[in-house]
Amino acid sequence: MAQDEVPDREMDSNNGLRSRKSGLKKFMFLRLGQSQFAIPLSSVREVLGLSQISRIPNMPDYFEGIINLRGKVVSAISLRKSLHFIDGIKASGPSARHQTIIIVEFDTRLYGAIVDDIVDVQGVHESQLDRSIDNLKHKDVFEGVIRRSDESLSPVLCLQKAMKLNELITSRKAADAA
Amino acid sequence: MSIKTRLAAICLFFVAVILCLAFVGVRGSQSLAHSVDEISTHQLPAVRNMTLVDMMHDGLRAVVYRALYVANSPSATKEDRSEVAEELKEFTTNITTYTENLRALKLNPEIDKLLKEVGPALEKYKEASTTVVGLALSDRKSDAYAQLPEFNAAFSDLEVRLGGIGERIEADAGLLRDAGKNTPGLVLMISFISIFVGVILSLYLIISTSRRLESAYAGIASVAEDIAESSQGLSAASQQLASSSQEQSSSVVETSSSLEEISGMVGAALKGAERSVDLSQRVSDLVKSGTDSMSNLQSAVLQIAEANHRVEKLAKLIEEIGEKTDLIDEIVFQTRLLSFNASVEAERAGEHGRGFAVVAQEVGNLAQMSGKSANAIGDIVKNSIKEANEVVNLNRDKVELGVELCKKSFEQFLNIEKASKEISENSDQILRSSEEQNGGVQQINQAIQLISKSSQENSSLAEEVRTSATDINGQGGRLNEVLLTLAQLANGRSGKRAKESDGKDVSAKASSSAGGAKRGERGQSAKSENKKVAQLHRPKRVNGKVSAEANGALALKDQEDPWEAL
Repeated sequence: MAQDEVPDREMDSNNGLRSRKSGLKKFMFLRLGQSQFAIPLSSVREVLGLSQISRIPNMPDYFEGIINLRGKVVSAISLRKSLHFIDGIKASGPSARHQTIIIVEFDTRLYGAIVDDIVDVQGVHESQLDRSIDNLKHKDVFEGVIRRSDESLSPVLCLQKAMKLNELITSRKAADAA
Repeated sequence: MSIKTRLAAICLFFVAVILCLAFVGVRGSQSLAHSVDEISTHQLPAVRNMTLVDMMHDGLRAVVYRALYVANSPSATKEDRSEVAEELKEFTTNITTYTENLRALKLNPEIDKLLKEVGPALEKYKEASTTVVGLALSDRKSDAYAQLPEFNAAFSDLEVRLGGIGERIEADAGLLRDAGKNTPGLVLMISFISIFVGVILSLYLIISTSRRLESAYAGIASVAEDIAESSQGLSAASQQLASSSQEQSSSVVETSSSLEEISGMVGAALKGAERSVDLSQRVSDLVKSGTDSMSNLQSAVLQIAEANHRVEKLAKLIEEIGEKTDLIDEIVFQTRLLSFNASVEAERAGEHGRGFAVVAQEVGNLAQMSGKSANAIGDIVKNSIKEANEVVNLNRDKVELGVELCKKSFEQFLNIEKASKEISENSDQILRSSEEQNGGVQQINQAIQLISKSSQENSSLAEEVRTSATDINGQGGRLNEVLLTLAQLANGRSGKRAKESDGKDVSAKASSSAGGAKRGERGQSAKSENKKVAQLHRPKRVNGKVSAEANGALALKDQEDPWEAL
């Protein structure tokens, strides 16, 4: 299946990543609780198994702590908490072992988003992408919805917003100013 | 002291008195005879001789004086002289003879002594008289007269002496007379004393004996009443005995039939005991085989426990496998992460990374498949572990329970074995006991037959006792008659007099009752007596027919004077 789709991949994204040939764009599908969400593959720097997290006090609850990524300090943010998405399954459920951190880069800084699992990497056709969810209140968190071949819908997350990086960065700026 | 001895004593007393009297009389008559004899043989000859001696003595003086006279008288012849000489001769001889006779009589030592003493005086007197007479006859008158004073002195001396002897002899005779005089007075005195003593003694004996007899009569009367009551009681008792022996015999019959049933039951029990001995033997065999099976079962259960241990080990092994699958899972996870990172890198490489992206995709797929398989294996292993654990836990509990139960069962079986052994012994004992019981029941049967026989005998004995009681009743009546007689005998008075004498004692009452019965119609005074009579006769009347008949006989007898009848 993936082999079939590979030639049809097209870089097309608001982030400026477009498919070069047939409008196929690669998405990484991740799982929070029982639900699957998608993020553009191009926004991912790498994925890691959940390693030791150093807790930082006096931070928002979605700020899980900091990790050591080959010598670099990276903030780890729980997507579930930042999205207020508690899908009936506790964070430390049976899938806790498979918790994964997706490393993304914003403003030349690396951030880790803690998800329950990474399900797949798939190329998605332009037609499969529906952007008609602008009427939702927090529409800036979602870029659209992908209709999967099995008829399920996977919302496309804007990680920067979903991780509330602006708040963190603002707070950092305030700290810098102080 | 018994009446017999009393009577004997009084008889003895009278015999003694009679003997005494007889002795005194005999002695008196003897002494009288003796006195008479004495008088006839001694006193009279003594008196005669004495008189003769006195006469000769006086005669000699007369001879002397005659010789003197002859000598003086001139008319005296020769014949006179010779006559005087002859007289002198005769008198001297005679006086000697009579004196000798007196001495020969041997009257009294005193008299003898006097006689002896008188001898010389007599000789002197004889000599003097002979001398005087010789002188006178030879005509020598003066000489003769000269000799006369001497002669007179001799004479008076002899006279005094003879007079003394005579007095003595008289006194002897008086003594004899006095001896005869005492006897009648003595006899009379003894008789009076004996009569006085005898009367007092007899009165005492009569009074005391009659009292004793009366009290004895009273005792016998009460005894007779008691006998009458007892005989009545005996009669009732014998009737009761008869009825109870009848009851006894009927109960014996019942007992006999019950005993037959018991005998049957005992026989059944004996058979049962034999069967139970066989059964207990079989049970003991069964228990033995059960115990063997039980020990086999125990070893089997222990083997099962061992097997369970092995299953437990197996579960641990499976768990290890599960751990290994975790590792696989981890590897799959890491592989997938790698494949995703490869995809990321391929995306970054752009057009150049397309092939690599495919590879990464493939690797990711493989990792996915491996992950699925590992998950499946993990699930299976988990299930296996779960199952195994469940099995093990279940088995462990069950097996432990089984082991425990087996142990207990084994112990129980051992207990059962012991118990069955005891049962076997007990049933043996029961068998023996029931055999003994059987023998015992047979013995009881024999004993019951004996009892039956003896109860029949008892029945007849009771009948005999009843007739004996009736006899005793009749004899009681007769005893009453005899008692009445005895009372009269003791009292020495007829019923009439006894009644008048206030009936001080029981015998008087009894006799008065007899008299009262006869004269019940006499009046007020007799009526009060009748009450006593009724009181006395009441128990006798209760005695029934026989005693009533006896009373009738008594009353009939009372018509005559019992004293006269006696």
